[in-house]
Amino acid sequence: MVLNKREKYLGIGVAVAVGLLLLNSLAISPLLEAREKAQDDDAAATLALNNGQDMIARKQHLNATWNQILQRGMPTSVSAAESQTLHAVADWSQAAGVALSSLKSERPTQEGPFQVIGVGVVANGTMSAVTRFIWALEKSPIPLRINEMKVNSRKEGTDDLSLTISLSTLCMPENEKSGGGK
Amino acid sequence: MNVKPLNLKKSLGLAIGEKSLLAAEVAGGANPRLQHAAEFVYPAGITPAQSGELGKALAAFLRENQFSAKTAIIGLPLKWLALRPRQVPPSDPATLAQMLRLSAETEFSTELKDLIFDFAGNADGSDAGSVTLVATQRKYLEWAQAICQAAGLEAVAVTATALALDVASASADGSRHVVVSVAGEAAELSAGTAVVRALRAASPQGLAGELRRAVSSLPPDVPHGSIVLWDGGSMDADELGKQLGLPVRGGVLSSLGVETTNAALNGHGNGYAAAVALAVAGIGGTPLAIDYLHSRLAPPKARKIPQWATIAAALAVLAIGLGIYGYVDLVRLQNHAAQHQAQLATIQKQIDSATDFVNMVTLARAWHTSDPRYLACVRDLNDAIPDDGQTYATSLILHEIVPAAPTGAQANKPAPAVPQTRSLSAQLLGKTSDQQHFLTVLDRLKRVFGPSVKPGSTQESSGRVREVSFTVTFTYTPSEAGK
Repeated sequence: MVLNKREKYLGIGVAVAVGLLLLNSLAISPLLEAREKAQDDDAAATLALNNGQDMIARKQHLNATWNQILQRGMPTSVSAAESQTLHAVADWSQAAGVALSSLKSERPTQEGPFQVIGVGVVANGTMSAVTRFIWALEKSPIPLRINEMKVNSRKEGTDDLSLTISLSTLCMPENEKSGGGK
Repeated sequence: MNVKPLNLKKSLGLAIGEKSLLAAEVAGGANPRLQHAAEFVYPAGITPAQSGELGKALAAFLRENQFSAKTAIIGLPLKWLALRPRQVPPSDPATLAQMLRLSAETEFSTELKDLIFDFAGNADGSDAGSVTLVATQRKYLEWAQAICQAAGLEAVAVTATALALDVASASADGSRHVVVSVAGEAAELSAGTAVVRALRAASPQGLAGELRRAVSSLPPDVPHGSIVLWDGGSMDADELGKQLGLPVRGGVLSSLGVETTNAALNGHGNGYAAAVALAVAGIGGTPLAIDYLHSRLAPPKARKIPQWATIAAALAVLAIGLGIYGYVDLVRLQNHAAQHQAQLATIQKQIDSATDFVNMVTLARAWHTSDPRYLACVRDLNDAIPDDGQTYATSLILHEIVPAAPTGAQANKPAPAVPQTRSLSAQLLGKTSDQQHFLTVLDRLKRVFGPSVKPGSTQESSGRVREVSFTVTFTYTPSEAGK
C-alpha cells in the first residue's frame, strides 16, 4: 500500500495522538496523582509533627501553672468540693451582707479528668452588698467559676436587688491527679 | 561567498615545487614582517612519495633555519591543478555552489571521486560573472597534509601558489599586471584568477618565447600592459622586456605587504615571493582565492540519520529525562513524608501525653482565674448609664461565652469544651423617660462596650407617667489589665 504525503502525515498525527494518550494514561497521570498524594502526605505529616512539637513545648510551659493550681488546693472528692464551696459561699454572703435565700448543689458532671459540681445561689441585698459578694466569688481562693449571673431590681426605685448566680467548682479524684501530673 | 579569511599571529607559507619547496615565515600585527625565508630542496634518496621521511627532513630544515610558526598555508604548483573558466549567472551563494558542483562533475567526470574542487573569481552572487573552477587530485592534498603532519605543522589552508601570488600582487598597488613567478625550471603566469598558466623555463630564452606566446594569447579583456617578474634576480627584466616588447619589472617583497630586509636574503628575496604571498594570506593580509581544505564546492555532508529521527530521538530523550526526574522527585517526596511520619510516630506518645496535660490544665485554669470580669462589667455598665435620675436598669443577665472546642488541624485530639475566652454575653433591661434618652443611653453604651451593642425592643408605657422600656444586648470583653 502506497501512502501519499497527506495520508502519511495523518497517520503520523494519529499515531502521535494515540501515543500521547497512552503515555498520559499509563505514566503521566499516575505519576502526577502519586506526586500529589505524596505532597499531601508530606504536608499533613509536617503539620502534625509541628503541632505535636508545639504541644510538647506547651506542656513544659504549663507545668508551672499546674503546680500553682495544685498549691492553691484541688479537692479530691465531690463531697469535699461541694462542702468547701457551700461553706465558702455562705461565709462570703454573710460577710458581704446579702441574705441567702437559696444555696444548693447540683449533680456532678465529668469534664476531662475533673468532676464539675454546679451550685445555684439566690440572694438579696443592696447594690454595695451584692458587689462585695460578687467580688468575693470572683477572687475566690478555691476553684470557683461563675457561669451565669442575673441581677434584678426587686422593687423599682429602691436599692434592693435580687441576685441569682450559677456557680461551679471542680474536684479531681486522687487517681486522676496522680495521672494528670505526669 | 568568499574563502573564510585566516587571521594567524604567525604564519608559514610553503610553496611546493616538484624538486623543492619555498618557505617563508611572516609575523602578523600592525606591521607584518617577513622573519625567515628559505628554499628546502628535497633530499636525495627521498622521493616525494615518502611523505613521512620528507616531513621529518622538512622539520629539521625549519629548525635549522629558525622557523617557529606551527601553522602553515600550503601552495600547490599549477602543474598539479586543472582549471576551467566558467560564466555564471546572478545567483545566491548556495545556488552558485550547487551549479558549479554540477558543472565540475560534468567537466571532470573521469575519476571524479579522486578530485577536489574549489573556484576562484568574483562570485558574490549579485551579478553575472566569470569564475575559474580549480581542481586537483586528492592525493596531492593528502600528500601535502602528510608532510605537514610529519613536520609537526598544522596545515590550515591548501591553495594554488600562483593564485595566491596573483592576489597578493594585485592587492599591493590595486592595479592588474601579468604576474610571472620563476622557480628553478618551472614558471607560472597569472593575469587574474581567470588566466593562470604553467610555463617551461629551462632557459631565459626559452622562457621569453613561452611568455611571448602566452601573453599574445591572453584574452582582450585581460589587462596585460606590464609584467611583474618574481625570479630571485636570475633574469634580466629589461632584456626580457625588450624581447617581449612589454615593460617588465622585478617584483619587490614590500609590495606584498611585509617589511623585510633584503640583505638578510642576499638580495634574492624576490625569489621567495610565492611563499611570502602564502604566508601573508595566513595573517589575513590578503584573502585566499581558493582553499581545498574548506572548499565551497565540497558536497554537503549526507545525513546519516534523518532529521525526523533526530527530533524523535531528542523528544524521546527529553521524555525519558522528564520521566526520570518525575520519578526521582516522587521518591524524594515520599521519603520526605515517610521521614516525617516516622518522626511523628516516635514522639506520638509524648504528644498524646502532652495533649492530655495541656487540655487538663487549660480546663482547670477556668476555675482559677481570680478575674473579676462580672464585677468589671457591672462597674462599666454603671459608668455608662447616665446619672440623670430618669434612666435606670431593671435587670441584668450575664453569662460567659463558651466557644466551640477546637477541631481538625487545631487539635491533635478532641479536647473538652473549655472556655478559652473571658468574654461575657450581656442582656440589659431598663427604663428611661423617652426615646431621646434611650438613644443617649445606647450611644454611651456603644462608646464603652463597642459595636457589639445592639438595641432590642423598646416599649412606651401609656400610663400616667410616660416611660420607655428598653432592652440592649452586648458582648463584654474585659481588658487584659483587669485579669
